[in-house]
Amino acid sequence: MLFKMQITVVVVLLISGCSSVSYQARGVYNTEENKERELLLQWKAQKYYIPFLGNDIDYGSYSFQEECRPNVLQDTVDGDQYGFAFKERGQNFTVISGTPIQVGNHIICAKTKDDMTLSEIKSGDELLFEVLCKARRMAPITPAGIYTLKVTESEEAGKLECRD
Amino acid sequence: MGVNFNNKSKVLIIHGVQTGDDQDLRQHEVIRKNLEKHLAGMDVPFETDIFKYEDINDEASYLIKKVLAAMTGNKISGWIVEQAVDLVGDVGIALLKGDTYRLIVDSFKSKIMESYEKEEPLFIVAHSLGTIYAFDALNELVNEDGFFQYNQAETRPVQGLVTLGSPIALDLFDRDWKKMSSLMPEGQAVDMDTALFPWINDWDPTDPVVSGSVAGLPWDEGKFRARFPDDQTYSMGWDVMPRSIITESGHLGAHTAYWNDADVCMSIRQMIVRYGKG
Repeated sequence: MLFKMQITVVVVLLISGCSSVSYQARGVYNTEENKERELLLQWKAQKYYIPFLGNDIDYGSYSFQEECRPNVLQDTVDGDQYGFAFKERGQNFTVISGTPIQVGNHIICAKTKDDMTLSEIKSGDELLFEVLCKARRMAPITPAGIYTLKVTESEEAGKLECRD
Repeated sequence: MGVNFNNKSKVLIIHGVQTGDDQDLRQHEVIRKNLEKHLAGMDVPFETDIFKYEDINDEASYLIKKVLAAMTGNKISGWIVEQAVDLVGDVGIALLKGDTYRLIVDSFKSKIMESYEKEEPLFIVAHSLGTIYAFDALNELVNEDGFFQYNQAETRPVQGLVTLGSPIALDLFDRDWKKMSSLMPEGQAVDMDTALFPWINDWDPTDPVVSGSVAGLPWDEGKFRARFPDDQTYSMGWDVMPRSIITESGHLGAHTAYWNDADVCMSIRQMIVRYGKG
């Protein structure tokens, strides 16, 4: 019995397929000193084919960062109600644009402008991405505003280097 | 004495299940190099260090390894048995919570206190089985007199916890929110002025150590959330952040890929930028 189970596990491992894609949405932000800073919204999708269980997809490795700015956003929610969004704690961030959206014990801090979910965003899209909050008691993030980001798909994760 | 936030942040690594000995452990150097690349051009001073307990485990299982290896009758299968006992023995020690487990937790707490005495903002990055030791040591420290006083970050010997590929949601380890220590004073509720304690839990969906699935079938964070529900942990003053990290190395490869993953590095960066110097 145990042997049969082990064989099944090995067979499943051998014939199941797995591939991943990195999505990058890039744009720019001009600082008050008129310096151009690159913005990068990034996530990965991992697609599986598992015998008898079918296809599945996992999303992960989310981040929103700005060139030369140390603080980054990484905690997300993704759903029809608000689209793809970054959440934060109200203790650390405060909403300064629009009506605050509460999700459990979090607030939405940045999101897709037209509530697009990850599964709706495609390579080649121009994505409107909205930063809604600012840090309360820690290093600042990209200022509140709406940014246009161009989405591309790649096998490799994107990098953002500080050009200063 | 207390943490001085003008001091450089320290990232203290605690490793997971290992073969070999303490000399083989270099994860703190990998993390330091990756963080330096991530933070190039930005003023975020930090250093890294590692707590090693492989030699403590090896000493505890030395006799049983040698006896079992001798019983195999030849050098090759003896070596295989030694390696297997080395790995399985590490887990057994953590599960049994005997003298060796106690020695590891106490030694780790002493290492944390060395940093506290130097007034360093300290961040723990724990991998695999090391996440269980880190979780236990941290929760013991929260309960000790004088530490983790409400909203006084300078009394926190640890400023934040990052766990990588943690088996903490598995039934085997029997850890959940009830085993966590509250940072809130008796009778006080969390409000917008509460300084929450951050815990980032990075996991790869195919990591079998996280899911307990030998086949590495995709996992979601439901099991973790059931053991550490946000409503409970938040009301205890914790900010628990489970994050799916796609390392692009499936199965056991995923379990060892965290050290070089860019998003794991970003989690550590976020932690020291938010809660470290300044």
